[in-house]
Amino acid sequence: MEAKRIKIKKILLYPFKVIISIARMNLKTKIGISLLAIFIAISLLEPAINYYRLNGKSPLEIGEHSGYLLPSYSLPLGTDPYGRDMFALLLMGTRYTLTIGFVAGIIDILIALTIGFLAGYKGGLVDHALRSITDALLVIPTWPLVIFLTLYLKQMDILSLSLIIGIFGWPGVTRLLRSQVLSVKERPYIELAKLSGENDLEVIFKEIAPNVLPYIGVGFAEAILAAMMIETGFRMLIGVGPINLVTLGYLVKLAISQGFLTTRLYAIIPPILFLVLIFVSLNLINIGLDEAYNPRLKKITGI
Amino acid sequence: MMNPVIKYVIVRFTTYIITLAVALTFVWWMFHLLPGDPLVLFFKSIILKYGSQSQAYAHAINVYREAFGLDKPLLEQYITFLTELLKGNLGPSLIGFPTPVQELLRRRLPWTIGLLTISTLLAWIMGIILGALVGWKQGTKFDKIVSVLAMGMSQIPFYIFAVLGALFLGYFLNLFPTSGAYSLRVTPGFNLDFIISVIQHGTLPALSIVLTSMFGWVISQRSLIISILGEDYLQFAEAKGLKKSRIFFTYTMRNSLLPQITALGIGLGFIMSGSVIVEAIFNYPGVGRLFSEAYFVLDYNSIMGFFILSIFTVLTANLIVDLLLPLIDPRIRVGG
Repeated sequence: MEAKRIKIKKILLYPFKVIISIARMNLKTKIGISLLAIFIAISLLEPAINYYRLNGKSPLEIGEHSGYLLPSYSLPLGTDPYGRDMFALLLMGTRYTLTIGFVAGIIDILIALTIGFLAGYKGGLVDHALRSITDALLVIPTWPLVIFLTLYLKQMDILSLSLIIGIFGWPGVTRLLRSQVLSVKERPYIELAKLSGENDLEVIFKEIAPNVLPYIGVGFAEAILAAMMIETGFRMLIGVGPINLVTLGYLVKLAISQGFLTTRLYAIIPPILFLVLIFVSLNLINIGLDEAYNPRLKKITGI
Repeated sequence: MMNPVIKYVIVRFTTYIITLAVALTFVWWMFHLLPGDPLVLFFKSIILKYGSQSQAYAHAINVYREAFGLDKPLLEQYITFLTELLKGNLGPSLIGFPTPVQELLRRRLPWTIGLLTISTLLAWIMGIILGALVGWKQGTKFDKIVSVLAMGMSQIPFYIFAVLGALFLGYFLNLFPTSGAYSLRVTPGFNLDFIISVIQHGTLPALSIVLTSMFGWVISQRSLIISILGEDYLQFAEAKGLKKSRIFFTYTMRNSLLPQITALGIGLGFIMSGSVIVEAIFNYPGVGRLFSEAYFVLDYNSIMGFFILSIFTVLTANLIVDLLLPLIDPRIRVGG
């Protein structure tokens, strides 16, 4: 019983340990994770902050103020054409954008893990078939595909949007994981584990997975990034979609389509800045992880 | 025993055809099998917007289905799609009804190819040169500044540059027009005014693409150069007392070009899907713009035409690269 509890505790603490150890190793990862943590904190606190600032009203409520107000003490970024508090929308947009990124990213990485490990580990015909499917999907342009599929949605909400983005984002990540599994699989200790009587699942989870872990991290960060890029580009392209699905991309497009581009920099710069910082933070994590586990790269990039 | 070169070409070509068929089939069936009817949703939204009688609406849906052959059984539709595709016929478009889709694509294609190819090539050339210089001067201040800059710049999606470029260069400084491919005041044709107008209108979209993709090339070229600099034959060349410039151009640059040309070929394959956002932002009349226009009026055939074109481009670019590579690089001899 006690032993089991310790084991569970160990498993639960494992991800934190990994993060801590990585953060200790590498400046880029550290900066990336801290930056991302700020935005995650903003997203988590957003409902509370907006509840407090707006006295319990939803930031989405139309006509709360008059439209096109200039920034003031109580409205740091003024109001949008519908009279909504832009600062509240910015915080909310951060939460929605990150949520779409994470939900789609989780779907991506789960599919990629399954297919990548299956193809890489099984090899042979399974690998061949799975690789053909992955390659065929890889050549279909994801961006237009997702945009087109939104036509099928009865209503565009955050979950359905993340779902269709997530379902088509996995081929790239799958490729990355498959090649890593392939390279780990050939190492001598895998042979040893097999000889000592471990079954396939044990080999995959105990021997291969820990060694591929940094690449799972890289793949996850990449998937989140791609999902957010698709969503942002898509909102900017199809323009002002549902006005209640406030993401950072929507805010940029809103500012552009209202002609704020020239007159109201404070409306357009903050969402762009937030987007760029989120993208940069994920990329730093990505590059940092890659370097930490790929010493040759470290020498090459060595910045 | 078949000649290995012929065998390689045949195998590569078969994979090409199969992947093309699988991808197209997948897209086609997905559009037709997914639950939910975009047509109904589309007409509902029109009714919500403009108000209309529901009888007229039911009639409109039927006319629409008939015009696009959507009322026939799925398998029949699919076979028609394939046979017409082989004939090069993509069906009538809705945007320019009854102009066929291939005609619309043909009209738009020069703009997309012109804008995207030129900017991709420019980004490649500039990125390769800058990356090589940075790699050559590895560890200096110049290297550090450029590398950090490249690291940051290459990761920012290009549409953000597009928006910022339109904002500062287009609106504030009023240097370049931000919409369209040429001014309405000039007559299209081979005259100086028209060409100048096209270049002016292309500058901002091209700039946003060049700025982002260039730094990607800088990073990859830098690591390539540095790994080549560590090779034995380079130390040997230095020990022989060869001139620095000769080592740089003949020994380092030349060897780095091959993987970069491969990557360029593959990158050029993605110009169709890459054109969607940039052309939407700048109102550029290319293939990507056709896609977003088709999206708004639910023009099935044009949307499918766009997918066919972009899948075809990606795969063909890959095929060309794979077939040409053994010719350029003596190390990759087929069958060896």
